[in-house]
Amino acid sequence: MLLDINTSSGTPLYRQIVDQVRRLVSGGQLQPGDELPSVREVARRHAINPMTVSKAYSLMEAEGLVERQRGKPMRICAGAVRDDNRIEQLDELLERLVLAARQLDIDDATVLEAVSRKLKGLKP
Amino acid sequence: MTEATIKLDQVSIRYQKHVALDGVSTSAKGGDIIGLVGRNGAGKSTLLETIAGLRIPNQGSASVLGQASQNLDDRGRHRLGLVFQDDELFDWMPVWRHLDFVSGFYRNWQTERVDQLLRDWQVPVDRRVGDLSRGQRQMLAIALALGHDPEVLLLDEPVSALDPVARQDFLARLVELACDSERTIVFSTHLINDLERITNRLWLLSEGRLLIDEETDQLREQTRRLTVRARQDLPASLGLAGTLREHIEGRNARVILKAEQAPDLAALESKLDAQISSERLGLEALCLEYLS
Repeated sequence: MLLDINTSSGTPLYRQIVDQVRRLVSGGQLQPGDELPSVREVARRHAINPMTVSKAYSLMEAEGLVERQRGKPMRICAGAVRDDNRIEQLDELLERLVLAARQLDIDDATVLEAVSRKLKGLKP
Repeated sequence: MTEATIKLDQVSIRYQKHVALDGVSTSAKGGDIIGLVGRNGAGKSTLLETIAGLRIPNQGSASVLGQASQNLDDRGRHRLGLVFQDDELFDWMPVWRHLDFVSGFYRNWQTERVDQLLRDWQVPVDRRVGDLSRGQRQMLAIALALGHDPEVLLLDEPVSALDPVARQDFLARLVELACDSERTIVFSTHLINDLERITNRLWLLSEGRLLIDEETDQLREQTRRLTVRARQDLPASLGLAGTLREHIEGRNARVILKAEQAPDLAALESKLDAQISSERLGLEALCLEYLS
């Protein structure tokens, strides 16, 4: 499992790990049942504080992405894939929305507000 | 919850009229890798020396591994590893003799680990300590501090003289050490970028006061920089909750905020009649905001 850690980003490292594992799952590079390297292995390979890696693993477990097995490595949950694909299906639409908003020179906050209004309109 | 390995309670230290530490209270536990930052003269070395029992607080108390720092006995001292700026190496000894000399004080000396480190860092063991380069000397001091497998490691600018490759290697070793067992590592540095990966906690000192004592993840998540461009002159203060710093110049403002909840930018934009962008800060940018 190769992770790309960007230290100058304001995104906490544990968050970066979670996001990347999720993307690897969505991209099919990690399959349900695949075992993850141990906290220490990840910490050593990327020279990251083990507590940070441990935090990422706990969060992934809480979010249902991975599951802990007794005395064995963490593994990707069976249900992890489908959920992710669902939101990814919006990705192309979102990209078009962002592009259109940029071309119209509408600032991000206004776009977000419009999306949020639209969502509320659909679910009053 | 793991017990605190380091505890400072309202520690103040004065050198004549100069206040080196001003009411510092904090603690650390096993597993913590703490980055200690601050400008020169902010009190970093004094803080580390106080934890190690080399300075006695004028007020307050310091303890390490359950013992008062100023009354550490040999057993307590053997559980600490120190690399300080004025190393106490003997210039006239060849490196190998120095290793022999120091290892004699410890029952659990890890000859293999120390030799390996020096080989990896290409420190010539036949050379006299006084003839080593500054970087090699620092590597020797680090290797010696690790030899007895300390539970608490206090490092005062351990990498200042190392070249970038040796520095990366050293940082990777610290992670190795942290993986081995739950140690507490505190190290001061001006190279804040080095802290991003390996620390889980940041201590930031300014004029003897501990301005930041927090998990690095939480700092990154809660601190934001807002850039405000208004259509009309802005008030003297925007009065935002959690403001740490605020620079306002006419229609433009830059605000550093620290808050659990991200501010409602849209509401703020309409209130101030302004365009606002918000960004999270890496540790380096964040420290600069506090220090400059």
